[in-house]
Amino acid sequence: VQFLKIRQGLELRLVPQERAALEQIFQEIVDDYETPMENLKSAQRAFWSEPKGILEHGYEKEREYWVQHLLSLRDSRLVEVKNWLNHLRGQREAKEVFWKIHQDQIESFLQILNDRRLFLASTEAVTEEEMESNPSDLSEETRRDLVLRIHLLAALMEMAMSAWDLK
Amino acid sequence: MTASATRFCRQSAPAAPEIEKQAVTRDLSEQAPGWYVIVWNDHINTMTFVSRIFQKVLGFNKDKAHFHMMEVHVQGKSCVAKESREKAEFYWEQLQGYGLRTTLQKAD
Repeated sequence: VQFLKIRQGLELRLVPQERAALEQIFQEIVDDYETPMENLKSAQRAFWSEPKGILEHGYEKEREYWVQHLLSLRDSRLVEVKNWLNHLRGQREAKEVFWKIHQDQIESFLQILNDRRLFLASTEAVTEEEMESNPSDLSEETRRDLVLRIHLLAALMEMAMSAWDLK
Repeated sequence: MTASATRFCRQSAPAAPEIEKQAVTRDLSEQAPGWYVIVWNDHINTMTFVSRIFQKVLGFNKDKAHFHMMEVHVQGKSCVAKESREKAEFYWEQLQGYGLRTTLQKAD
């Protein structure tokens, strides 16, 4: 996968396998965002519906406002990632895929990939030790794959940031 | 993770004031730069991403963003701003939206 800075944003160049992988990532993100709040594990539910850091010093009475704010973030990101998913699905037959991320969408792109990292890590209770380790040293295959997936998402974010922040 | 006090956050959180007192003082305290915005360490967000968020949301230059990112990483937290209540809420909203664990703390 290549990220190139273009006039109004970024262009991703993907070979078919990379397109398929990114499509799968976006599908997983859609599934995350569409999971009803009551079916989420407590850590994710807390992220979207318990704005803890602000509910002090008289904020408690504004709880509903902040909960709605967090939920609206989730909803707007869902709309965005669904559009991207549809775009990539429409390119299934392409030999090489060119996908443009407009400059106004770059922050969303990073936030959405990061949401997926946070979601995976909290769902599976990934520890600091696992994150700091070399994934190949992890004895359990499922944990190894999980940590690799989290690092892969970070690598995509890094590529996007490096390309976009180029002078 | 324990965190040592930072430049902005030397005082411990004040005891909860009585409601009447809070009502009287709220107008003034909302406008005064008396709210700390604190970002806490976590082991998932990457250092590059956190540094970038500080530049994007708080308008820090690269060096300042790096300093606060390292403070979060090493000390467990960093006070990234001291602002009016409204501005502090805005920062909380933005930083939280990026997935950073952020809290507000009222200054003494």
